Amino acid sequence: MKDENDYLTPVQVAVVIINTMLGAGILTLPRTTVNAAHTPDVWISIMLGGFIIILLGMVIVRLGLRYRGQTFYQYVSRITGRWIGAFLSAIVILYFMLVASYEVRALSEVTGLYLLEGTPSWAIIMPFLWVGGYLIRGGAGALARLCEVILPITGIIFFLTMFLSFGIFDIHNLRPVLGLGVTPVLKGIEPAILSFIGFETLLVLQAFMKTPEKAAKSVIVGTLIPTAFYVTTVVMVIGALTVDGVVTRTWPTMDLIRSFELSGLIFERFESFLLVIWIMQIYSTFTVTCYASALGIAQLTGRNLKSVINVLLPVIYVLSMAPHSLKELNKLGDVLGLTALCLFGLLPPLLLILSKWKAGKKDGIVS
Amino acid sequence: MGLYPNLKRVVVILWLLLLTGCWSSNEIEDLSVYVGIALDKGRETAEEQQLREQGATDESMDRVTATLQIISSKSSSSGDQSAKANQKPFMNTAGTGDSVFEIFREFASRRDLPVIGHHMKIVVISGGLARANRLDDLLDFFYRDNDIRPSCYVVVSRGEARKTLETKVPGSIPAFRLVGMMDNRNRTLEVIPAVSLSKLQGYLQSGTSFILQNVLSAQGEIKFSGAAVIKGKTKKLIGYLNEGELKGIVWLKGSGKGGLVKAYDRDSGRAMAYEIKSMKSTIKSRADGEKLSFDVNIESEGRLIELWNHANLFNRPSTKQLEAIFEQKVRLLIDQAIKKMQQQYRVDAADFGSHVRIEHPRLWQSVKKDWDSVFSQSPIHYKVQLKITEFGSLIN
Amino acid sequence: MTRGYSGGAAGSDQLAKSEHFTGDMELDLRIVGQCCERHSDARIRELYIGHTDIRAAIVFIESLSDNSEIQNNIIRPLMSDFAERYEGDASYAEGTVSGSFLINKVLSVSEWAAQSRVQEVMSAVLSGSTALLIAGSKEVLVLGTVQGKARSLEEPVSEAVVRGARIGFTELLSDNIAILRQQGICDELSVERFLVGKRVKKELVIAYMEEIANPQLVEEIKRRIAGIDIDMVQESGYVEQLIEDNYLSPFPQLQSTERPDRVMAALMEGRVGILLDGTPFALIAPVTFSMLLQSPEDYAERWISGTLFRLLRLLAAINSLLIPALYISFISFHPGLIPTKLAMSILGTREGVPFSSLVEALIMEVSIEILREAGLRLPKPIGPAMGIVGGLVIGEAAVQAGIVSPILVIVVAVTAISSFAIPQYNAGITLRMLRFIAMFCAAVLGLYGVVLFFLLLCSHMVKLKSFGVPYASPASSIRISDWKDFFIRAPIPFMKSRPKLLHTKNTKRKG
Repeated sequence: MKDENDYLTPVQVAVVIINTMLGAGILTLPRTTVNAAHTPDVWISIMLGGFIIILLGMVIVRLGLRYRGQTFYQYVSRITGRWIGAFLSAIVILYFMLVASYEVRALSEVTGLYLLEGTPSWAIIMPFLWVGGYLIRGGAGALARLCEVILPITGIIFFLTMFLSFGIFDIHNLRPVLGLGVTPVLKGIEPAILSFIGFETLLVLQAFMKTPEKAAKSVIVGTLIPTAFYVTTVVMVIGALTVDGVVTRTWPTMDLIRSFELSGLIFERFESFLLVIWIMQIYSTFTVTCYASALGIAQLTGRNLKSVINVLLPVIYVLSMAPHSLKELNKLGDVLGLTALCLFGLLPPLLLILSKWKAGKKDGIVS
Repeated sequence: MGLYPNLKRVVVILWLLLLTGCWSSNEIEDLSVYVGIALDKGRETAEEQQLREQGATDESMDRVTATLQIISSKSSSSGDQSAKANQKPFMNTAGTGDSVFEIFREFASRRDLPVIGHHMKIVVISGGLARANRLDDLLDFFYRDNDIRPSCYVVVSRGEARKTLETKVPGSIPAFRLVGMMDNRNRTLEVIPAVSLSKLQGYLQSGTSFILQNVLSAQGEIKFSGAAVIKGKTKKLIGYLNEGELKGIVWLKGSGKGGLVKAYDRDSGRAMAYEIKSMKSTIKSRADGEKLSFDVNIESEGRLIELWNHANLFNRPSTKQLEAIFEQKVRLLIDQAIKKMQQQYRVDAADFGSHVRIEHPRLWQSVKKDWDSVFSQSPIHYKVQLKITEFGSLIN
Repeated sequence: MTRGYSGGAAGSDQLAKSEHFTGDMELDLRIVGQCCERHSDARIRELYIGHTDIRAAIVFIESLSDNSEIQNNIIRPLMSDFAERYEGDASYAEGTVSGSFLINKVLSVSEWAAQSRVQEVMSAVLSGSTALLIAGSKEVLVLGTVQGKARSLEEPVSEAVVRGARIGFTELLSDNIAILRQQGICDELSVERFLVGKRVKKELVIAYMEEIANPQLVEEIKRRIAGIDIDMVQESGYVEQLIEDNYLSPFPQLQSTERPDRVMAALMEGRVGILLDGTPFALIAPVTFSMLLQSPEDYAERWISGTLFRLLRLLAAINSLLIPALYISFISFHPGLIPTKLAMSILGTREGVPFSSLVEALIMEVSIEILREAGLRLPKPIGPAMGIVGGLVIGEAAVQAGIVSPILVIVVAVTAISSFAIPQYNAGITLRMLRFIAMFCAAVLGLYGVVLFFLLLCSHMVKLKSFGVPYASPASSIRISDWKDFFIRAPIPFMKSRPKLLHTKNTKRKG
């Protein structure tokens, strides 16, 4: 029964995109961008990155509009033919799977470091996968509603904790603006863009919209809000820890919150809040990407989504355990980001052109 | 959706978790919480010596002695008051070695309750140790450890650091006292902004020189007095600033929150005091080719809070005169500070570098490597302007 | 006891077969007598009508009928002297009287029916009517003398408000419908009647606003009610459990309430009310999570206080659900996440407590639950005494004995008080139940376990639907118009539209 409440509204799509973007990146972003740019101007890089992502997202929206009610996996083979389509779908599925396992692994690393030292990582990951799997069974509607529940919680707690760190914020650490020109800013764009990975879920989500035309608005809102999150993070972290202090820390945002205590408030220390919302965000990113890949497999092989999930979760578990160290994990993250950029920066425009060309040819024959 | 497969899965998972569960669980009362640590030059404590004589092997070269201040849980319990008063709420225990982490883990074989560092508030490093070792080496463990928060403060003690973690006042915990004293910045200029581990990290990474609060101890009493100067290039302590010089730096940076200026009347030699209500300094760096100079403009407002001059009631100095006297005094402090920085230690301890970084980012790229020596050759011009805006509850 | 009236009597086969009254007084009386064999409160009164020798008999159940009405309006007029009173009217003269004569001229009873089937007559008698058998007539007059045993209208006990109507539903369905209609004159209010139960039939009505409620929703509810297949529906709780979406869920998927104003407000939002005879609890469907934290008072008070109360209740709900779990996770897993001073005082007070924090918390929480359950069943005068004893024993003595730490007592007390602040009783139960699961999660994985628990709970809630409406809404729908009546209660002039999720026919509430 597909009733009114099972369609995704534009707001829901925006919220899902936001939740997918906000993932592991929020803890590492200050380090990765500053490492590339070496100036405090990285917040400009992030804004530019967000702008680029909006453009890329628009292409996907245009593409999706040509095939209403269809996911990427369904329409790609209509554009490129069956075999190439299946191949491209398989790559996208694999990509989503890797993102899901990357997020899960990052979760287990951070949780193991700050919350549960000594707990084996399988004990951290398995319940998480199970809870995630339970949600995914509910389909896109349930996913979107979950994102809608946790986004306000995340937003309020995040900006509150960031605001509390104002005590150790020093505007001097952010100056001078553009002191070394624009070059470092441009260098910072690449890692900045990597943290915006998540817009590609639109390839799947748009199919569930009643009014896919409004997806463009969702992309804009869905990118601007993470931009606000990221800019706040980077500004507060650099303002407190300085450019030089940021580069050495594995999880700089955690260190920002750990760098101050406010006695007198009930909770003197606030890292638990950050961790809680971060785990929630990882959860939403994980479920969305996992769903995207499970849906792909289901649509490609024509199997039941639920049985696909049952097989997929163990695979993701194995993949998440593959990196041997944090260094390898970070590398995986970088590789994933680059893949995403190539895959979703280049593929959709190509497909769009191809699809238009095909349509044009058809029209030509008809007329 | 089938009911039973789900139920089965729930049961299996719960079962697994409960069977193996609670890996990280450790009740709070089964832990030793330490709140402060003092790092001294390695010298074995008496207990350690005896332990070693009985056969405890120790291959380390005894570079560092770490003294932990552990909260003893019985102190805070709601037991009867007389017993509480007689008991110290903390206990200090020391270990020696050349790896800080090794020393920490040594306690596992010496105490039944494992020590945890989540609540560590302060590290006191003895001057001698800081002179001989790079700070980033000394503190490396604290940065890597996931228990210890980067909000923990760092101070230097010119004497033995472990002495600063002692007190004669029953019921008080010295580490907390040290942290509490850092809040007194609105009362005195001798307390500089507290440097936490995370702030220190920034200094150490960027290679700038900086100052750390110096704390003195005598018979269980402690006092913040002056500061230790850490040279950015070597990351070692190169000397101290006395209280006057420290005040000079505070005036230069305009970073004081409150405090006083004491001066003497030129004629009578009587004391007078100016309570600082606000303090502001604007530092402008001027680049003339490679030649740098600084213009500092210091402004302050405050009240005349004490004047030992009631004998000659009709010949009081005017407000202008008073201001001049105080300004003179401040200039004296600043001169001392600049002299010490530029001529004796030849380091920039007052963060002039960041002004160059902000105002001349290109130039900074070329000078930052050797900033301390560039700084010691850059002239500093300053102006001091004090304004007495009120006289307290008296009319003048 | 509830078997058919006509069958089962031993001895007389002829009687057993008789389905209709015969008009033969002797025979009819024997039929009736046999039917009443097992009803010791049935009364059969024989009499002669109007000073003639026409035999008649009235049958009624003493406990169900209005005896004085029978006495004054049936027996007395029947036994008056017809010849004197109805001079010239000779319809009774020929050894019998017609029913219409009695109804039109003699009996002063407002409700009546003529009936010849034994079973129908007997079931009417068993519901409190009086049957009048007249010699020579096959038709039996069934006269309405029902005197329902109902209590007077009272203030609902389980949902008291400071400001708002004091009236609550009662056990009598007709009264309840009347109360609902009395909320205001409205010709849109549809009240549809159903009979539920296979052996014992009970009346059930669904009420909705014709012009507002989503017709699909109404159809769905009708379909589910029609599907009820059970001997007897005792309480609206049965209906609730028989028509809800997910019986595994810990959440109530229909709202039960004793308050007519609450039902009416729900109807005005486009929801559907379900009222069952014999219970003061009406059901409202569909329900969303946010409704469980709302009270009619929110709207009666000004919007600022209304909003604050809502936030307070939200806080109470979170407290009630998570505080013991957080206590466990902070004490046993993350001593580094609590303030130093607090850690020190807990350290001191926990010294010597022989249990782990989970066991400690379980002991206290279970004791509190037992105390609450015991207090519920106790007669009113003993209740408070029980509370004091329990409080003293659990609080003071357990701490003194060193079994639990004082901090935990505070935790448990706050939790218990918080769970009382939830305006819906069954929502409170849900939270109390889930609290224990949260505690176990915390004991296994600390704060991470609590977060996972919360996520699982959220996942469940977003998957759950109550009659097609997502349960977690409006939390799970970022719609400004719906959020105006969620954690905040916007000023009434601003609440212009009905909840969008219900997809009502008419969306404007105002303006």
